[in-house]
Amino acid sequence: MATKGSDAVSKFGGVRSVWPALGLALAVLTVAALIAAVYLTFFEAPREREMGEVQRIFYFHVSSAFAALIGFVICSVASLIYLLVQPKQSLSLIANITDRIAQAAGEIGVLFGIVVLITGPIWAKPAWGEYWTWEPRLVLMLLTVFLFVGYVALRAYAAGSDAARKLSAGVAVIGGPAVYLIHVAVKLWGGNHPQVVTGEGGGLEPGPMELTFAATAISVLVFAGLLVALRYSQHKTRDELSNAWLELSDIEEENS
Amino acid sequence: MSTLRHIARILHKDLVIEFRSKEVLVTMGLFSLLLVVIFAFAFQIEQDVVQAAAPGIVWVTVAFAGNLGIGRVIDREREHGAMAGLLGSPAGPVAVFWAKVIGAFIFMLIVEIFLIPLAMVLIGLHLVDGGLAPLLIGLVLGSFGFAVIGTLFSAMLADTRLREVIVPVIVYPVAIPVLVAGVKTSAIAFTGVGGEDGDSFMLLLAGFDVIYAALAPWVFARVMVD
Repeated sequence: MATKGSDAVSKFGGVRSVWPALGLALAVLTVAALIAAVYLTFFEAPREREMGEVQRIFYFHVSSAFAALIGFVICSVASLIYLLVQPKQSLSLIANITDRIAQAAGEIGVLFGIVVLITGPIWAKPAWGEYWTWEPRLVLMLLTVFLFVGYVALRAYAAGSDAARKLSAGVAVIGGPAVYLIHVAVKLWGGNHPQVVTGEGGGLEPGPMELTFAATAISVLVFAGLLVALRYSQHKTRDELSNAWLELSDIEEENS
Repeated sequence: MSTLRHIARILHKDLVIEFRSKEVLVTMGLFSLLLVVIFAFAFQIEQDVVQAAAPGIVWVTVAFAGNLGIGRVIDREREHGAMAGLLGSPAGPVAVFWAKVIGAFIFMLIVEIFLIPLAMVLIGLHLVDGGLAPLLIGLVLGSFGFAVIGTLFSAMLADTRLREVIVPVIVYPVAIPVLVAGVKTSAIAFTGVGGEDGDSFMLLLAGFDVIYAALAPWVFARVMVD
């Protein structure tokens, strides 16, 4: 058991040396993309007819919503794979990888979800006069963030043990369909009326607005991906540390 | 022994225990009644206002009382490692899960049979023509869905710290489709408003129940058994 972990680490030793270089390249690209997006948002995108300058929040607000929801879906799917794979000892590497992906994606999803829930009211107050309305999209975001905050909290409380990981995976697996079902429910509840918020693509002028939105969406998603990768490697290091700790305790026991 | 027999056995045990002491039923019943009264006061006892809020009052009460009841049903198995014993028995985790869910479902239905007519009297609600069907379908499908989700999470989280806080945080968002559809179908039943969407909401409830009836036992088995 103790050697298995170090075998896996050394097997990836050759490949691992590539990751830092790739990671740095990705980080530089991300920063460049974000800077481009900010520039486009403030200087290239035209002033919106009805809402004025404050509409510019839309580009980052909606992009963050994409990032959050995609993060939640990845968390749910990875958790499903983890639960499928976890009982088989031979697939323990896949189990660990998917578990860490799930945790990273869930955490970053929550991060961007909170960004959405903060930028939303900032936009809403000048645009509609209200900080918050019980409109379907807002409710969906609020509830799914709630749910995955629960997921993250659960992982934080009961860190490490297999039982805790399975537990959080179970929560995420149930949470996946829940995102869809909540979407259906609140949409029906909203009475299928036209949305107050301009839909993506619905209210956008072709040309500069669409370009800005596309650029911002891509740069935010890439940024989110970078954060997930960083978080993943943090979790990996944490796991390696605890494995090393276990190995050390085993060795000390043998020697004593 | 087939799974159905196992489910029946465990369910029978739970029901016998409960009907001897009636502890969970009385707790749920009193709690729901209290909630209805509190809500009536919260809405300042004005007839119109309370009647408009009635579907919401009913369903919040169902949700809270359901949570309470499910929590107590699962808690019962915490003593002396009873849950581990049940899971390791020939019955298997799926049978245990369904027995607990059906038990919780039955308790919720019993409380609702008592609570809804009483609330209708207290608040002065009447069923509109053809209102009984949406009301009953909403209550039955909704309670079942809530029981599935509530039992799953109460059981899975039974051993964590702060479980009484974490369980609602996770159960209520997942259960929102049930609450929304339940409130809407009850609203149709009591006021006749919103009838055109009634089918969609009942379909939503049915879909919710089907999806989670398929998913939850599997998740339960995976998580609870090593």
